[in-house]
Amino acid sequence: MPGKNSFLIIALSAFLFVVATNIQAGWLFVLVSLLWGSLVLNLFLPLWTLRGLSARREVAPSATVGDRVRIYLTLRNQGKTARLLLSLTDPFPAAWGKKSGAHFLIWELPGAGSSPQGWCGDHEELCERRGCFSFPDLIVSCAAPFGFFTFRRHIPAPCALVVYPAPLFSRDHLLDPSSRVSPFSAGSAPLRGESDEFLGIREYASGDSLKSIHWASTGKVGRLMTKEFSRPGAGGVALLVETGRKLHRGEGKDCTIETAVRLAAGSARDAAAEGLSLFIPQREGGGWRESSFEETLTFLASIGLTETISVDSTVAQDAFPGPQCSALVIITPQLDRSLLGLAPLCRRMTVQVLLIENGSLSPQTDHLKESLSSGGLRIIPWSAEMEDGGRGRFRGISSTIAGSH
Amino acid sequence: MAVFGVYPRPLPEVTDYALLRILTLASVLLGAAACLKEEGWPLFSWVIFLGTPFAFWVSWKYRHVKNWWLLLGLAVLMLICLGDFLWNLSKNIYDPRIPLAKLLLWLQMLHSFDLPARKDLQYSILVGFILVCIASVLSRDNTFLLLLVPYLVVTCAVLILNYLSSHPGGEKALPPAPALLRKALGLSLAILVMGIGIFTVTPRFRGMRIRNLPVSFRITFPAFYDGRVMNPGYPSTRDMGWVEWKGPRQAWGAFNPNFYFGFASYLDLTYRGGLSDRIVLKVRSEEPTYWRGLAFDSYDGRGWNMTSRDTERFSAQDPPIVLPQEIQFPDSREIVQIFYIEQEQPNVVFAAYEPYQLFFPTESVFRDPYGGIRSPITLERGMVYSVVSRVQPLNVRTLRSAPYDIPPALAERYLQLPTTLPERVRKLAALVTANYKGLYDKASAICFFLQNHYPYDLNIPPPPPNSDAVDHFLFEERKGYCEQFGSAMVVLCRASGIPARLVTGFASGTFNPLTSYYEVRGNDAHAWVEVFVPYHGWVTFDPSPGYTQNPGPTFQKQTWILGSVAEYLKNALSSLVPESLRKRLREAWTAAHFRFAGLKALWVSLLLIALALTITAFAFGSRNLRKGIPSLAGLLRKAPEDNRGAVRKVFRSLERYLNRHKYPSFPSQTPSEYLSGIPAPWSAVSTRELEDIYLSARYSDHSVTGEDVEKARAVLAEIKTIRRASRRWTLDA
Repeated sequence: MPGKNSFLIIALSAFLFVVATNIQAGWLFVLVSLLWGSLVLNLFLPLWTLRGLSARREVAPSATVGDRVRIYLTLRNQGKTARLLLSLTDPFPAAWGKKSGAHFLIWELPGAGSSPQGWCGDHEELCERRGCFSFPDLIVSCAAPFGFFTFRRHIPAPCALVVYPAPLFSRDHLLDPSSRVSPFSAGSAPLRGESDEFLGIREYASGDSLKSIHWASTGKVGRLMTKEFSRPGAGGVALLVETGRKLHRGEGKDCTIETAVRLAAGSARDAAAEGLSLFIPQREGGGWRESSFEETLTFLASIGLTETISVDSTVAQDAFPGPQCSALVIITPQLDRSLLGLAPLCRRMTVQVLLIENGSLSPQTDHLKESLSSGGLRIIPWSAEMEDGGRGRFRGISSTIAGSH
Repeated sequence: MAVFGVYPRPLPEVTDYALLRILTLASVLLGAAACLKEEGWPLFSWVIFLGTPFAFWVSWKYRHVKNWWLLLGLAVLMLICLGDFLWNLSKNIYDPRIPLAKLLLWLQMLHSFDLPARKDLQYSILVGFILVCIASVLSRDNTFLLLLVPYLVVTCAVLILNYLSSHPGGEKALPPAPALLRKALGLSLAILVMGIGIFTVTPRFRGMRIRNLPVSFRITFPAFYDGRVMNPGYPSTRDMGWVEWKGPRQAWGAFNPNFYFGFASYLDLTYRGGLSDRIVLKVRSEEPTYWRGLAFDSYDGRGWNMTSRDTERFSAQDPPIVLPQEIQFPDSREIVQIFYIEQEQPNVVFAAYEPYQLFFPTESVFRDPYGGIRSPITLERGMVYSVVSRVQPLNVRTLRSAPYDIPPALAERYLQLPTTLPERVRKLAALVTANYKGLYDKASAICFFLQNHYPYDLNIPPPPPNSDAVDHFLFEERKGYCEQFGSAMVVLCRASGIPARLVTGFASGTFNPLTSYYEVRGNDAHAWVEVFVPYHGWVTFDPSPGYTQNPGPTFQKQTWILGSVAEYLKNALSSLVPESLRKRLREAWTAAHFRFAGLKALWVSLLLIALALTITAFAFGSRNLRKGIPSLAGLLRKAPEDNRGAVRKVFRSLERYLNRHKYPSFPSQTPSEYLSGIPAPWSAVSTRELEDIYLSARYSDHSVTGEDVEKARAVLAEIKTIRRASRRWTLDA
């Protein structure tokens, strides 16, 4: 690809050739020939320089949104002669969010057998988006020696990176282990009291429920102490993120699905911390499958509006989680009548609906009605209906997450 | 420097690359040096060479500050420079190159005071290149190369740095200065090689369309000049109050190798001597042709004279001086020539025949009746003049069909022959032209006859006192140089009824492909013949062997420089050969050329066919053929290690070593027997390993590794070490 300087040199040499012809100036012919020689050199040297190069890219396999990942690059020269003035571009994947990649200028790339072997470099990037990224080929360009002509070559350096969504926690989240109302109390309604076994007393930690404070010990020790209960040993949590395109709002990072995924990640982390197994919907063929925490996060990282996972289809196909699940967490941006189809499920497991509305989340509608209604929140009428309908373990929730997290 | 004020905000593009500035300075200084050298190192050179580095230092030191007062001062100084340029231009508008170069030099120096940004440095690089371009236009010799090569290296380094600095990550990749210069050296060598290749294969098109031709400053001349020829090499013509030569040649004094005796009103054929090899003229012209000086019409048996002494004066207030032509041929074409006088010359204005416009330093010039132009002053060294000539292309078909229709006045003057001319000369003329009818054909036959029957020789004795010079050359001496050949042709032509005259001047000279100048040396002074062809005018013939029969421009649209480069290299190399050897080689070549003239074409054809076949075989030959030709890389590649051979070599070395120390090996001994019988002190060394390796290498099919070779060598080294140690011990004892 000719640069603007090449056009300048070509025009200048043509002009000088005309002048030299007009006045028959021999040395000017020599100068023009040298200019053309430099153009020819600049035309062929990059082509030769870009031959016999290999590259490698290394990066940590996974990261979370907000993390900074360091990408290590190695460029090797298979030829014996050193190569000059290489420009290396590490382009970002299309969905990464940045258009231009990282650039490096390499003055000299030593040949094979010489020391140091190849060129090593690295760059640090901020993970701004979740996703499963497969890095494209490295682009090595050369415009040696003067930058008149630039030639590019794509060198494969396969590398993958999974950026997990940043989990979103709410202090009043239902999956909070210290919550008075645990949705994961196996076989019983959370509102009927706790059935966990008392394990002991430990120091109070931020986030622990005030109701679990053991005042007697606190009085003795002089610090806040809290009671600790064991989690239920059986049961799993199924995570269902609504991906219905029509239900979500916003674009890009502001799309509600991002909040939904983050909430799902938070729920998954909570569940994993509780020792519960996780279940995610299968992309093909319907149904659910048990997955590890990493698998779950990878699934959540890759989820998008193009998926066909939705409450509607789950209800329509009657593809509810199996009996090994004790809870189903549904994260949806809007209330849909299809949720009514979950009523039969509520009889055998806890169904928790995290409703995202205007970026809001509420773990307990009733609890937040009064406190958050002044914050512009819309209270979901039908969730109340659902509760009023006596099916008890179904909750519609709306609360503010902005600001507190 | 209290006047310097800080910028309200940081300069956006200030570059801190000190190396880039230093190399840019070097590039500019080399460009300035190239330019100043061509101007003859004028007085202001030292200002440029001291001022420019100082200006770069100032711009480096105060690159982050801005000085409005300084900028204002620079602007005023630049205006003064512009005024000086206009003033110099008004004095000689025909050659603006030197004032322009001077202006650029001053502007560059002033601009160097304010180079904060990379873009400013780029402008400086560009100005340096323009200066080199101007120097390349002005340069007339090869010494320009001495500055061009370092300029190329430095500019390569500057361009690399400029490219690096334009890159976002360039600062990190900035190489150390020695590494950069090493690479720049390699790159410039590659560019030089490519440039030479391109230079040799680039066609040269016809140009010289300019009309503001260079000419020296106006010179006033003495009022008493009456148009006569003045030759500084033969001062009697000058000191004697412009009295023409009328007596014997001794009146002119001895032969002067620096001045051609043919540039006079009388050409004495009895003069002998070799002319100097110095460059006397440098001519820039589109095509090579003969640079005509004077013509002679009257032959007296010993030399040539000019019958008419009249001259016609042509004047012009400003160049050019227009020289009207008697006959204007519609198909004549113009040739522009620029003459640079390198050594003082007679007052003969050399030009391709027939000059039409003359850009000359004097207000007037004089033309004789034979078409020769004379200046009122001798041509001094450093003088420049330009000529536009109108030359009629040679059309052989038209010339051959020309009727024998010669005006009586012209016939009277150009058919003159002395009454003393021997009859055998006339008979020879009749014999040579017997089979030809046309005027042009007859002249060509005479020319061909002389070129192919008489060798060229500069070392001939003068003719006897009472003999006819032409007769002596044709029948007695039978060899000679250009004056003899030219005179003989004119006499033979006239004897055949063809109007002809002898012309002196310079041959085209050697074309220097680097400067594009025809370098005319003193010994390029030449004499040739002009034959009058009715309705066509005077046609040039050169009867001297080795010269073209009808020299003159060919008016080709394009020419190739490759032949000129080869010719120039041949001349340059031949100049390294001692003169005596060169002379012998030249004589041998002339003799061979004369004897095997017919075979020349055959040899050339055979060589060309062989060359074409070789190129075809290389380019389009079969794969097998290409495989059969070893590549250079293959030849240079190290041969694979022969481990068996190496082990045998070690064993033989051991045998030789021990043989020197009185333990010979016998053919009847096996290697094991030989090694087991090694005497003290070497018997202390275990040779078992060497024995195994040698037997394996010599008699088995087992592979021998490099490690085995090393082990064998270790044993040999150990044996030698023991001997040395024992010797030392003996000495110590």
